[in-house]
Amino acid sequence: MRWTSRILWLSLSSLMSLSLACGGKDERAPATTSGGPANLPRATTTAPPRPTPVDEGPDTMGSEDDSLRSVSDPDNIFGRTLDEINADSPLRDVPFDFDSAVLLDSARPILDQTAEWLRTYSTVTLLVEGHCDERGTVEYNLALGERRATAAFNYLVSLGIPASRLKTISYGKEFPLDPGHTEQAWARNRRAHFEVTSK
Amino acid sequence: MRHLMRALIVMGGVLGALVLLQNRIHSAGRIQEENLQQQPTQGDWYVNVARPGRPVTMAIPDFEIGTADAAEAGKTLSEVVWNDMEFASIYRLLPKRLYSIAGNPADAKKIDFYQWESIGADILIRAVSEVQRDRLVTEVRIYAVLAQEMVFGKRYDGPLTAARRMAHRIADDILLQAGNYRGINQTKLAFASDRRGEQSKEIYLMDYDGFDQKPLTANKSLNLTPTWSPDGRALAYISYRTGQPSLYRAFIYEGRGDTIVSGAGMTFSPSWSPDGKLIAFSSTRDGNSEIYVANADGTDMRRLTHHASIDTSPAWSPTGREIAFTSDRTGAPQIYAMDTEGLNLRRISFEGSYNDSPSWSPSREYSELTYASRIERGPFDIVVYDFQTKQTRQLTTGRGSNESSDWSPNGLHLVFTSTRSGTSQIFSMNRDGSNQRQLTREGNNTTPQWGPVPGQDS
Repeated sequence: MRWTSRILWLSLSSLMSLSLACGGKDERAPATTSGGPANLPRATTTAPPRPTPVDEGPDTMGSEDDSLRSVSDPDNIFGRTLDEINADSPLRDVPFDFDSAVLLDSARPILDQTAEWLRTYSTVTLLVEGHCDERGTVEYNLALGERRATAAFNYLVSLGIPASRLKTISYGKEFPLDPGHTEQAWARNRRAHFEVTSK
Repeated sequence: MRHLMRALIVMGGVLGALVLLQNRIHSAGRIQEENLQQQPTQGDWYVNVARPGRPVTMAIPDFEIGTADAAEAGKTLSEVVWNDMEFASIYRLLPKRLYSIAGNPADAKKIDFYQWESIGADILIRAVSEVQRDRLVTEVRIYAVLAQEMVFGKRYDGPLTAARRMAHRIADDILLQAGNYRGINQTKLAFASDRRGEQSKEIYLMDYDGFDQKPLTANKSLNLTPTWSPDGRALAYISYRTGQPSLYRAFIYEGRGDTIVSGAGMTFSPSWSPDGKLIAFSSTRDGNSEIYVANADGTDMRRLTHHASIDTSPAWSPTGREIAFTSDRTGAPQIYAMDTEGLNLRRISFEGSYNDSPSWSPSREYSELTYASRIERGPFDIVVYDFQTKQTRQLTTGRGSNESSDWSPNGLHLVFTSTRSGTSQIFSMNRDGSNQRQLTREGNNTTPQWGPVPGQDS
């Protein structure tokens, strides 16, 4: 019963994503603005591409690609405590536009890699955290963060990751990654973040 | 480090307990009051002191010190009463340098009312403090200068340590007796603060003027968005103490608390109804953020919104018949109102690209709603929507981001947060945006909520 409602929610939220994309938000960071409605078809892509070497758009954060190294080095996981893994995590944050929980094109390779990593380490469970930048209000950002976490959750489930291995939580704007007040800091803070909760 | 803190947050929930906040009112002892004999007055005398064309003026000389050991308390009383009256912004306070003209006689019978009149005083406050048997005793008298009569007098008797509290009570009495205003000087504010460490936020309480800031929670987790019960004896708030954001209730004078709403999804943004019986909140238990109402103990939960958008930030109207809330159903967050059945939906905010955190004025005079509004692409500013004129006025302008506004119980002031000094701090102001005062300085302080006027029994 809960499962069906989850699926219902899934389809609802993808509908929402669509309508949000249609809304033609002009708030996105200039670097990611590659046209309004023209983006729409890409947002509806149903068959996610296989994990590919990182092709980072200008709006993704971080330049180091730790994930490949981790995949090739299992001891990296089992030789370390959860704290150590999360302190130097192989999983990268998923970026978002301002006031949006729509998965960006640049988010998909990151999520694809996350899914691949989860398939490699099939016992690992994750907490998917939704975070926001400081510019929204406290209450609204709690809801928005939840929606971001859910967007990442739904995509991973659509790639075949069992929902039982994933939990979502929103921290709103309470835990900024970057305490700055610049466009760059805000972009870093709008994220879905993965914490390994068991292995 | 971060993950460690995160683990601590969850752990802290298990260990976390409410800090037993002593009932300061009771533990510090009561302030007893006794009306002083006064001359008979005719009706609403305070209406008659007003002279057309200018605000009513008030002179408040420093409290006289009856016994030498009352000097310190007397100084505190003078300062706090002055500060309270200045904040209230009801009267124009005459500067103290003028008072020497009128003298400062110890005997009320020798008050030279003509001299007070000559410096422009409509109302004169006279008070004397002394220590009697280790108690602070203060007598306060209010005089109508033109009528040359005492219109109110009261004797306050309390612990020596209670000077600030006594002063707030005196200020409220002056406002009530001299102008029929319901003062807010004895109220408290609740808010969330990260001053104990940036990976946690605790609920704090302070006096309305920023004094006596102390934590209510101590669970080293995220504790957010407090809301007062209308009797001022309890707060509901969100805590991540178990890892799952849930709704809790703390009885602040009894040192106990309970869980109101937990379970699936996250629960957040609570708002206590004006009659104290219900709590509205947001929850993602049914998939996305919707607004629910439950009894104050969490029973009889029902859902009010049914929309795939984000619906959050419920705020009760003073009648308890309507709930304002935020929804991004048109693509961007805007303010709406509905009745408590979830029906008769109407949109309230049309200006600004992002509006959130509504709070309905409890005032009997003004029908107003405040919220944070993002105009153009800049930061947020506090605005007030007037239901009668259907006009919106902007109270803050362009200094940092200004958010989370909430009304004082009399609807004459607001509290809000601003990042104008770099970090998020709590400020208060008048309902026209004037008289802005910074109340917090330590750490980041968010989501202030102005508590009710304490009952007569406390």
